[in-house]
Amino acid sequence: MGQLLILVASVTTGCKADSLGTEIDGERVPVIDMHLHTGEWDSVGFASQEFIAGNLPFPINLNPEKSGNQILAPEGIVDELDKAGVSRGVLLAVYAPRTVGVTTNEQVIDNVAQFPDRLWGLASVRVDRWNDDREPQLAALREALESPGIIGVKLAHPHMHFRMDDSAYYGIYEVAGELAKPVYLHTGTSPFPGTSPEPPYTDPRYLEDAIQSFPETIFILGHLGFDAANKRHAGLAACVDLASTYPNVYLEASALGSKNSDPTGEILREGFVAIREAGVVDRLIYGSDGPQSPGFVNDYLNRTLIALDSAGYDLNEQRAVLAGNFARVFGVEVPKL
Amino acid sequence: MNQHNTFGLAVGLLLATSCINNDVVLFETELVASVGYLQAFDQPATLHIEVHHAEFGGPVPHALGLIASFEVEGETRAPDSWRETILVPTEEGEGLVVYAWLDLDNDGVLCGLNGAGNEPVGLIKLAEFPSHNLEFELLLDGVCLGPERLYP
Repeated sequence: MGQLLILVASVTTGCKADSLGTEIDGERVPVIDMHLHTGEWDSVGFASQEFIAGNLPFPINLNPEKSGNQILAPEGIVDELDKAGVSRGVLLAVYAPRTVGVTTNEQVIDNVAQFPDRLWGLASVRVDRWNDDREPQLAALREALESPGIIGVKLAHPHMHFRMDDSAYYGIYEVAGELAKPVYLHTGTSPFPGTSPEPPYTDPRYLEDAIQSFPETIFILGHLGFDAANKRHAGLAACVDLASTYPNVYLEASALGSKNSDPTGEILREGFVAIREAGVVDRLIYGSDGPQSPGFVNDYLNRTLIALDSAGYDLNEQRAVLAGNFARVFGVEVPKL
Repeated sequence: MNQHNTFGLAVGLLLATSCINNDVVLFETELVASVGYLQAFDQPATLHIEVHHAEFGGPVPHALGLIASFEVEGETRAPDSWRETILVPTEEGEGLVVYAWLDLDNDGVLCGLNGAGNEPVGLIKLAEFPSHNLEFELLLDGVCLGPERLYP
């Protein structure tokens, strides 16, 4: 019994990488993971708690609250970064009380402050009472964006239930552009219960008006418009078209290449091929959507490296995707190894 | 692993993975709506209807929480009335809100790209809820707005 427990513990905790960075063609290459979630189990809605617990592996699923709090804490996230050799991670604030829950800007600011050499953060904004409180919410966003280590904005229209083409929310892009803080947007459907799956909330083409209206604002289209509910590409062509057309559009391919969504790796490879063929590799930024479960951050990086290689990305292109493009867009330095 | 340990592990797994079944209290209410428009729509059109809690509880309380959604077909013109019985889980939230939009081009999407369609929308908060029978007029006097823009 004791041996079994030790074995399980060893498998689930994995090993720390010898050093930061990942090896490609015999060279160490720095990695930034721009999509990591932090927070507390109690701030997630009941339906989403059930969904998350149902997707955790054994034996972690036996106590999802304890496991969730451990892995979502900044110490747990940095531990996952260490295991994957990722130099820097970006924590996302979330205000989606109807779906995935709330991780406040203050929590992200505090967590980033605990590991300022390893973590940055993206702030977000609460929109579920927008008719009543948009001005104070925008003021709160502005204040958060001026905090140390907060380098951009995170939005998720299907989780937060607002249309991508509704100009009532364009003040968010205005603030972000004014402060030179890129905006990361979830595109595509979501596997979480209670989200808005309709095209105006998920189809990246509905963002075109905002992208055109705010040329000084950087839009990072997360998940490549992936239809997570049905595990298939849906908005890939639209994302690539938007990146090809507008210089303020960037792309990110987190989550869609996970073992669960893409067992063979073909979905992620297909996305990378489309981006390379369109000549917009300089717009692709790496993110995992971790930590999810122990080892996920490392696993997603490995799956990404395989997909990049099979899609024909050379060393310089992989360097750009893994850290260089992020550093350029967010105005930070590429981590030194 | 001896028999005692096996039993202990099984009990542990059972406790950890099972859940306590809470009773769900459902309040039956019949909604009887007349639908008003700012202009006539003499064409086949589908009315999409959503019934929400006005305020939803749980760990992170928020406005709106979807209870039910359904459609009413208008074969020759926009539907001007509908009737539906729904079961409201009253312990999950408070108040009742009804939202509807008219699908003029029958594509299943409220206002396509670039606002195409100019499809009418409306929302009403039913102040008389809880009641087993609610009659009300739902005026679709907005355009292209989701429920989040009409309530609160």
